[in-house]
Amino acid sequence: MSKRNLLLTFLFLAVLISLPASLAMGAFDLSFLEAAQIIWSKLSGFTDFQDQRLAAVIWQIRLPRVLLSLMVGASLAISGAALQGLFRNPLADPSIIGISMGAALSAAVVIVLADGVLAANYSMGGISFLAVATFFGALITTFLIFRIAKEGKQVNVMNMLLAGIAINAIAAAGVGLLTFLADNEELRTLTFWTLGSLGGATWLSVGVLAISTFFSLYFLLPLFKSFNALALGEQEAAYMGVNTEKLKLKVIIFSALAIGTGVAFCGMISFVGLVVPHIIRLIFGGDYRILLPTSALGGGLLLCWADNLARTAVIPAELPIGILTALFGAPVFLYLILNRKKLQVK
Amino acid sequence: MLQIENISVSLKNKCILHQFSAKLEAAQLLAIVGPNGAGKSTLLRAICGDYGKQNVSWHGCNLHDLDPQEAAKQRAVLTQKNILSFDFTVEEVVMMGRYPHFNKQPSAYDYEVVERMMARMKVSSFAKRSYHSLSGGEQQRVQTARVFAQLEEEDNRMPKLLLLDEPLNNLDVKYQYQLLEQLVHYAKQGHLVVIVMHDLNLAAQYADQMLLLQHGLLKKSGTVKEVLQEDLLEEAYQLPVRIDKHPYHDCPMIFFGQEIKQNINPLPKLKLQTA
Repeated sequence: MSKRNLLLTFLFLAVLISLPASLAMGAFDLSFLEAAQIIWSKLSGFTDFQDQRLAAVIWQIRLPRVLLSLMVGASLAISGAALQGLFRNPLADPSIIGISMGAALSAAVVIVLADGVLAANYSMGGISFLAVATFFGALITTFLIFRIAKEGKQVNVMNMLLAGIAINAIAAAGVGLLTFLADNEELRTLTFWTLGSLGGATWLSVGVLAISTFFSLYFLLPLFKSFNALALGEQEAAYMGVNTEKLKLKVIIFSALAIGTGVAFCGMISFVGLVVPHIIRLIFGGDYRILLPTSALGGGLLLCWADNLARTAVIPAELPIGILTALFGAPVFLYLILNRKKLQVK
Repeated sequence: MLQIENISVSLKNKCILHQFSAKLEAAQLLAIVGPNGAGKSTLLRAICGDYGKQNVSWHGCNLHDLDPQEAAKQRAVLTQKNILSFDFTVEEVVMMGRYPHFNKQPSAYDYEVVERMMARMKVSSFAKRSYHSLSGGEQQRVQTARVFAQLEEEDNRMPKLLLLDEPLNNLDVKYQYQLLEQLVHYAKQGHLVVIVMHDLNLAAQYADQMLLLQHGLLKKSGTVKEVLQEDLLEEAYQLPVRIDKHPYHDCPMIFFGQEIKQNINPLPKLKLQTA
């Protein structure tokens, strides 16, 4: 088996094991086997599991949340990898080009200025006003950056990065102003939003995320050749038959979609998009044929386990997940940087 | 045949290339020479269609009209840039040349081409090493192998267009000669090889045809002996030039710089000035 397939199989199995393992964790304790049994009984239609209350907890609360974590993690990581490839810069990440901050600004507007509408909707079933607003916030910011960077028929990638930094600063100023205006309750909501949470997971949000994750994976995964060629330079990639303008459009549309939906349902979750592709690159090299699918699986795993810890560490309260993704990811990242020579897999 | 008709390129209101025309038969090695800023690289890029659609046709067909992937099978370009923003193994870099030829999985033929081109450029011994760990000259050879790999086709014997912008950069003397031998050999198979180069003596030895550019204008085109004339080069490079016969190749040999007649007029000694 090739290195790629071996790695993909391993990560896929890890995801499969993480699913019941995560379901077993929580305030209602149950074993790994019981969790697997509940899923199986639901899927097979064989529903005479003894403890219906426990089954409901698993089916209505934990399962959507775990699935959401896997999908949001996958979306964020694959968009991170795609943006890094497009900008030919290992530091590119949704927060660098301003998409996250644009979403944060629209979230802040909703939380601080429209809290009457919001209070009844936040973390309730259905899609909240906040989610819709942040989704469009992310999309509008992306479109704005894209417009600024457009020169005639071409998109200047360097201008896009610089425009992103400027938009990021403007949006951050807006968030700052709204923070100043906010009362204590709003301030608390806003702060928690910027640290992210998967607490609002429902089957509806899982469904929406499933669609957006499917589209981003479906359109970004086959682009591995273009991303590899782009490492040589934009001009050089074009000489090798890559339609670079089409590539830019695809990457921008599908990473904005992935990031937009992720941010809409879970708030800002930093670091996943930056660190997961990096960890994989440090161990397995820069080949996007490996990097794109493994980033998706790795991102899902990181977010899933960060969320498991977030909801079990301080029961009955919950830690904001953004703290944990950084706390998990950063030391692994540092370790890899310090040991990169030894770790290179040939 | 490469036919270029009346192309002009202006960047930021400065005319870089002015009304350039040429007809170039395949199966030869063409050297583009000229001083810095003469428009050599611009001409190469204009041929590739980087400045929009121009009146350039390769075998009667404008490459700009083709699908980028189809165009990439017919012409390959080695630019002066050989940095890589992410690290890949040498093998993977050469395989990138095969990207226009396969969809998802490289075929057995693609792997074979990669092997063959790595052997051609003498980089097989470090095929598994990371590109970033190589020296500048080694990187240059890997890139050249990639460009060669791009033009190989199993069943299509159509003449290809190979454009190289200063491919001798970073190469030591041995590899400079080897690369030029390879390019001559490649041209003899019926392909057109266009090289931008600075070393006029190497150009004289290997090129079939030459173009001398100056200030964005074609100063002279023709065979090596027609282009390498003392007065033309003196005007182009603003340096005294003497041309002699190469001691053992049938080609001109160019010497630049002022002749120093040591016995009659010794070099004045430098005087140190004290403040």
